[in-house]
Amino acid sequence: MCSLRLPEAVFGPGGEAAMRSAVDDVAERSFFVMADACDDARFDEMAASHANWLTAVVRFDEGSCVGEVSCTLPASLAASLFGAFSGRDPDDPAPGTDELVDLVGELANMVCGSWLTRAANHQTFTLCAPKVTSWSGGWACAPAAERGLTLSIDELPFVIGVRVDVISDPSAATPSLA
Amino acid sequence: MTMGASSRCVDSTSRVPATAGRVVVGIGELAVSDRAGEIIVTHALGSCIAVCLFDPVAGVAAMLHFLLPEGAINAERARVQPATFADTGIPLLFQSAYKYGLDKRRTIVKLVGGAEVGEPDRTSFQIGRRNALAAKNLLWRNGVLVKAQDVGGHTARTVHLTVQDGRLQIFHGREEIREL
Amino acid sequence: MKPMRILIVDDSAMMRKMIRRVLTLSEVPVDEISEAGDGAEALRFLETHDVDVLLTDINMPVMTGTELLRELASNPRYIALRRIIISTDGSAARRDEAAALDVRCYLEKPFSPEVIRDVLTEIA
Repeated sequence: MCSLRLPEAVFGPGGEAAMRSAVDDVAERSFFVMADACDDARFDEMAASHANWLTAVVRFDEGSCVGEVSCTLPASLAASLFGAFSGRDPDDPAPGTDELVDLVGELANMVCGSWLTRAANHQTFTLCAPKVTSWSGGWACAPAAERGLTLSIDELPFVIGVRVDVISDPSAATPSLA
Repeated sequence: MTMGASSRCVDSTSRVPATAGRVVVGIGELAVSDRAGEIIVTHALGSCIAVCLFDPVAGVAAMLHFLLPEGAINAERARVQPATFADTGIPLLFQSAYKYGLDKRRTIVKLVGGAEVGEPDRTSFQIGRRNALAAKNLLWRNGVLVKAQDVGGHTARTVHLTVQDGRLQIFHGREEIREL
Repeated sequence: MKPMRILIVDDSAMMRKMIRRVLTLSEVPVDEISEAGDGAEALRFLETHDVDVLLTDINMPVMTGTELLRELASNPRYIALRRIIISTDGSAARRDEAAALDVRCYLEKPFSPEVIRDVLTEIA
């Protein structure tokens, strides 16, 4: 399982644990699912069978620290999470593209905000509106930067990526792409 | 609905003979009652979940004790004993209770159980937690909000649901620990 | 309890829909539920409609929830409007800011459906 490389000067030693806690909280409270740890081999195996994916990126800005959190998942998982979040009856029409984009964006918004509240509660961050993109062609077409924390939800792949650029703290690590 | 109609253990016959006024629900079983003098009881709720319903207007109480989230893992068992699983048992619980006059819009729903038996860690399956999530997901998708819950922890629970007033008591052994 | 006129302000249509569903399913006495996608849209709505309870996100385009709440706090017309924040940002600074803007309740996302019901029941 890949891990996140986070500057300790901003997030302390518990930044990654805070992300894991945030994802668990979002998954359970809003979507009634558990996000399970997943090693790279298992993740690749699950990812191989999905052609259509979505990625939502939420940029955060605190002035001295800017970055982004991404959530990437196959469209089938997005549809399943849509049903859980909205309380959609299985007999209702399937969600359209706009609804899935909204859902994935809100998912990333909640993961990012919950993580920052845990990892850097002493700071106030501004979150930008999520930017959601989708692509076909499978996981192989995913940007390399998207692989960070690999998880599975209901036996479907889910990955969190974090990028942090510390601007004004000279003791911080160089900007990293997790 | 007249009071005093018979209560029945639906789906599976309880292995424990009902003593006067008590209807015992075992694992993978459910019960519905509209008899004011009765108490629906389930024991040894570990990782299982008890879904408890009460309609104060119809005077109907019902309880399901399910073991696992999804029947897909054992289709035959889901067919023969649907109360074993959340996704087959919860709909059956409501459908059974409707026959006694329960109205979903008036119904008070409470959840109990979902304990992690043994030391929980990230490598354990955490079935108790999954059961609780499965119940909440199903209820939400069927337009039902949970009134109260006592889920999680590490201790098995016994639940008493009083038909007359929907009173729900939770015990560890014989000691009442909470009224929900 | 008098039925409430509620305004939900969030740039996510999904979130607004989810909250609306909770209000519909719960016993909270509701007269009318309205929606806005940002603070500016909410302010325009409030100028021409009476609202009893406002639920607002913080991070929104055009006008943030904080900017909206500052506008409302400076206008005595809205003195009776009950305000609830729903936001992923649970930082101490934001909470302090909210308290100074007459916010009754600060709900952190994510929250289960029942939490919305409980908060509105208490406010009703």
